[in-house]
Amino acid sequence: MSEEILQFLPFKSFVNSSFWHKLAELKIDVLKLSDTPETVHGFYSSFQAKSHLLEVDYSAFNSEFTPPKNCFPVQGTIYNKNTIEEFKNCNKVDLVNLEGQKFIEDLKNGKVLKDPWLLFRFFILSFADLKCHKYYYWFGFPCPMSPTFTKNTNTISLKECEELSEDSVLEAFNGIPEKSFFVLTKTEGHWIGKALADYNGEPDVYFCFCDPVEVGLEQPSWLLRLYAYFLMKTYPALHSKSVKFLGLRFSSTSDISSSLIWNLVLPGDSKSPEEEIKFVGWETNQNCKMGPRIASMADSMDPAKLAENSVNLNLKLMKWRLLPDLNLDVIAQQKCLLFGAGTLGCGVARNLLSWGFKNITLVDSGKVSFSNPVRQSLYKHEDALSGKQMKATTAADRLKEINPSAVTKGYVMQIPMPGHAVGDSMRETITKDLETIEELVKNHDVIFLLTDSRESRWLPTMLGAFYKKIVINAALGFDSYLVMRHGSSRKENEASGETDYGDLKCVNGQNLACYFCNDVTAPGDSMKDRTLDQQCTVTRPGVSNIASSYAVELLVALLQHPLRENAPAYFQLTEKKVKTSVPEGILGIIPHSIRGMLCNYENILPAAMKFNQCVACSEKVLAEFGQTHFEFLFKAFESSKYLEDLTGISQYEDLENDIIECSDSDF
Amino acid sequence: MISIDSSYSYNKMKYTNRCDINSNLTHFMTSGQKKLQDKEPIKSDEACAIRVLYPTKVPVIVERYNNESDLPTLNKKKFLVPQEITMSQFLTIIKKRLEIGPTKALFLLINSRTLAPLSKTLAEIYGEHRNTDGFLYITYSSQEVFG
Amino acid sequence: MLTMTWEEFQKDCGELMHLSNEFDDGWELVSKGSDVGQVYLKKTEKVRENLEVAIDMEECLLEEPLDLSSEEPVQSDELITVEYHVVYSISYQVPMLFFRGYRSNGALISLEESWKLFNATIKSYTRQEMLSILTQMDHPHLFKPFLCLHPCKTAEILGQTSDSQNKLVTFLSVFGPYVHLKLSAKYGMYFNEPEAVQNIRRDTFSR
Repeated sequence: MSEEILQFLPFKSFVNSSFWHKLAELKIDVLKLSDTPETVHGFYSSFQAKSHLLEVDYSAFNSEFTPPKNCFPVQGTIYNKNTIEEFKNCNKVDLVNLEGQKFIEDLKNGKVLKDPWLLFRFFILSFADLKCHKYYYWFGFPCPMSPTFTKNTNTISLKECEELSEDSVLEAFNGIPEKSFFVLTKTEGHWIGKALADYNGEPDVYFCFCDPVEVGLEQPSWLLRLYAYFLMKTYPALHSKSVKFLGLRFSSTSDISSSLIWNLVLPGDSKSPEEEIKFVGWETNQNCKMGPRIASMADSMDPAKLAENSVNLNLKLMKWRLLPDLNLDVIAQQKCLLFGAGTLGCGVARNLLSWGFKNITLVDSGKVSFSNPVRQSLYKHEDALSGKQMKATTAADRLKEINPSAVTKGYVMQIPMPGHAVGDSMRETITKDLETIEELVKNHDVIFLLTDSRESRWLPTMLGAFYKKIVINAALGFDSYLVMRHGSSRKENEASGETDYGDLKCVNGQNLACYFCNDVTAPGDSMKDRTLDQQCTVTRPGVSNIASSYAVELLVALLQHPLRENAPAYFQLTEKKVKTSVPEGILGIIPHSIRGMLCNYENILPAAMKFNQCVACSEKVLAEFGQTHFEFLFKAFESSKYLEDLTGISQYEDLENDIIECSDSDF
Repeated sequence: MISIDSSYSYNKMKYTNRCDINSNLTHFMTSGQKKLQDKEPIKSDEACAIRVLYPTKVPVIVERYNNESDLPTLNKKKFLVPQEITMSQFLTIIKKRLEIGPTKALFLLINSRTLAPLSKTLAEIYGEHRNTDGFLYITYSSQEVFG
Repeated sequence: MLTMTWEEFQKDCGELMHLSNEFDDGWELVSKGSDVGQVYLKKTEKVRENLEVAIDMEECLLEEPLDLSSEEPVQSDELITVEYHVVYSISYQVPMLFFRGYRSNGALISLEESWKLFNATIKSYTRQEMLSILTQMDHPHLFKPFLCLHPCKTAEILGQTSDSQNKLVTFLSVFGPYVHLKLSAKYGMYFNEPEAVQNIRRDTFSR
């Protein structure tokens, strides 16, 4: 046990967040581009020490430094570089030697003897990336490469020490002004504390220091290494002698019985004064390798990050408290493309933000007008005033103002529509628009149809089906709304039409209808037939809010389903109560469509199969687009009759004569 | 257009056994719909009569949706429709009778709750959705289009 | 139900500070003004936690072969600082406990990590109940998001304690342990209420 080499616990830096806040403030207001080394202060404590820590906080830069209660001050220097390159290229060996030399100088000129707290010093090499709120830093605790120290006898605790009582040590400790390093000597049978400067080389003393190490650990902190080196340099008389060190460690009840006593043999100073002294002391990184550490302070310093974290909070609480299986990542990853930036577009976009969607793209050709702001929640009166603000781009900007971490973009563009012929002069522009729209559909995961006419929904419906996207459609009547998910075109397995599910009917997600599946008319220029008041969207204000909320909730429920858009929908044939309940995902049922009325505050949740002659999503239409691409589109734009002919819905025989019409009075 | 002599059908019905009508119905439905057998027997005399008289046609009542204001009402609302035509064809007929523009979109609801799948035939729909009174109830309503 | 007036809160804060100075356990009184609610208590604790330390790839890239010092073995646990604030809630008329944790590099521990951290200390039957009030709110004086125990149930829970000479001490004794905040038993002894507090700790959430 004796003759064992004593190991020391190196200091660990502990940076309080306020230190970085202060450094950022100083860098911007005072230091600016200066990179001259600045004096800083840190502190350590041996009261209830949790680890062998050197802490720094905002007070580090104070010219008059007062350490917190029960802590001891440490002097240091910060080398804050202006660029990451300077930080990286700084010669680390030179720097620790430079700092070490300061220590040696203070030893030589007697400063340390006078102010023993100068025994321990530190330095920080740092680079503050203020833009990214990232702080690169590397702490060093310079210490000369000294000969090894061997233990003379076993280490004992103060409790086990016969000649010292805890009370006498405490009394001495309390009586001495400089408490970090001092000497205990016996005078007339009493142990008294003495400053190092007053030590005259008498034998049988205890070299005391406050050891910032957790009670229970047998090794001393690095302070002992510095202490021993200091004694070796200052008192040649102690060379090759056995020296006792008392490391004071205070428990939570200020009890010092666990303080330790090390008995070391102080080696002789083998080096000649001229010989160059090498220094060690760079701190290891989190990974315990030699390298700097990085503090990413964006979470507490970057307003955008603060906002983002707060935004996510509600979602996370939902997950943690109520829905542990809720997959928030899948939501954050979806890219949503919104056709239409009116009442529905604004409402849907805002709800998407609330649910944590990050990528939102809007397509709209309109300008913000005076009637818009009261209903369309992303616009202001001011936007209409200029008469130049486009909805799509304004909405995209507003979304970013609401949540800076959102990735949004607005495209000002007319959606080409069936039955709206394209003149030769426009052909080039429309082709370009079509390319953009097609590209947008390809690059997004979810397509929302939120435009204010039936015909403008045709192209996105068809493209959504062709590129196998999730398509959510919301449409409004005066006091009614329709929210639906289009049938999926992602073939997963051979799916039959309707199947029985207990008392219910089940329609596979691949067989669900699209918006156009329930009519036999190709979309045409419906505006032409409308009176003026019909052309301007007349709806009860509430319906768009309800519908946009449902649209987003439906999407979220769908995304949580393992089959996503292939999730089946269920319906029941009768109004009677049935035993079978609709299978639920983690957010409840996932209907195919929601049709609601404000006049009676009722919703119905119909599910219907695809129409095999649908003008937008049937095989024939998709195949034709696949083959002739834009040529097909232009034919459809030329005349909606083309789509009716293609799908065969215009070829129904005249069945009039087979229908029998009866009056109520009949029978 | 065939007009019905209502008094005739009514009288005729009186001589008909209801059980027969229902078995007749089942027979007519064998082209794919077993569901009908589970259904309760037709309770209305009127529908029974029709079923007997026109075994290949289904009685349908088409009404405008309660709150519909945009679309006109139909002059007549009771129809006997050939069972083999599809819902899409039937919708074409209704649209023609409503005399609305070709671009006006509407949708059909069965029993005010189920969306009519246009690929299905009237027979299939009738088998699944007919009311206990023997009629198939269909409402029409404008498709929501605003945004 | 047990609520406290702002005056009571201030009085209890004063008493607690008086004892804290005696016990030397680091409570601080922070005053932001003279209006109702503008004084709060603050304490910082170091907590050793077994947080998963994600290896920072950028840090790895910056490592240098400085053969100068012995390297330490990797430690699985990390020391974090937790800052506790006891603030008066004007709307609920009860004390509120705000807290947040920092790593040794000064970075805030993420919400997920905090949640795990405090989740782990909330054991067994009390877990669900505590989770239902653990949330994040903006600190009323620092305007920064902090984790906190929502005050909606505080009055009810405190109401189950017997008459207390210092409601604030009772509050901290009941709620503190759930968030790593241990108030020395000396406080309870001083106010002669250890039994009441122990009972409540056992019973409150078991119903």
